[in-house]
Amino acid sequence: MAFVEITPALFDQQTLYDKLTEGASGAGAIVTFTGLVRDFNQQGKIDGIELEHYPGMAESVFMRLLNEAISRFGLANAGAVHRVGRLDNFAPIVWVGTASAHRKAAFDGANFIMDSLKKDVPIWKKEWVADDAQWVAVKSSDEEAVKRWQR
Amino acid sequence: MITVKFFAQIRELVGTSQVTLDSQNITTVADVHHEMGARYPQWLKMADEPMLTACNQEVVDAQHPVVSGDEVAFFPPVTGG
Repeated sequence: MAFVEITPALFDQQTLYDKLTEGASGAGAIVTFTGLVRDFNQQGKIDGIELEHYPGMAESVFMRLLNEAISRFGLANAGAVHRVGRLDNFAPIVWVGTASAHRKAAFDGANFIMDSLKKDVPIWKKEWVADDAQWVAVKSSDEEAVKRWQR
Repeated sequence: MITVKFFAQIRELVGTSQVTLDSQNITTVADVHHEMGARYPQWLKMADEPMLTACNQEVVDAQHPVVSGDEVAFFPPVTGG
């Protein structure tokens, strides 16, 4: 069963891995991705980020994305966790896991989920520098990345 | 009644995360948008900024119908991940 969670809490990689594999009988490949808070942006150093989401909609859009990945790439399972709230530099933000019979589908599925998440799931990011925070603008590289999956 | 939610920059500009509207005279998302402009002078500051709208947690366009009991949300393009 695909799973999605949006939470302020730090996630445990092993727990998520176990949950992914329990729901993935016959899988011969597992890909997991973890995104961390970088300590810089294009202007310089930052002091952490803050994430806000649309409760309910974020989870349902995310789950739809996972199910789309499962059917499109023939995955055995997919799961994701995204954190919200204030996060320090280098803290884990997002975890995506995919399971499939062969590795290409698992890699492609994880890439598709990450690229699509940045366009579709209602989550917004603010970057802190000392006592000032600025909302992050959409990056053109992220807009380009998702286009490769269009068909 | 219609529930209207705001997120991120839009929530900060409006100064609240949620309001309710009388559904009289509201038939589309564009009507809700117009009502927000009448209620919040600062709404016009966002005229040139990209803004997305959802109705009942699905992204919709301005002409999407709105009826009593619906939840309409305004938010900027997403930046998670």
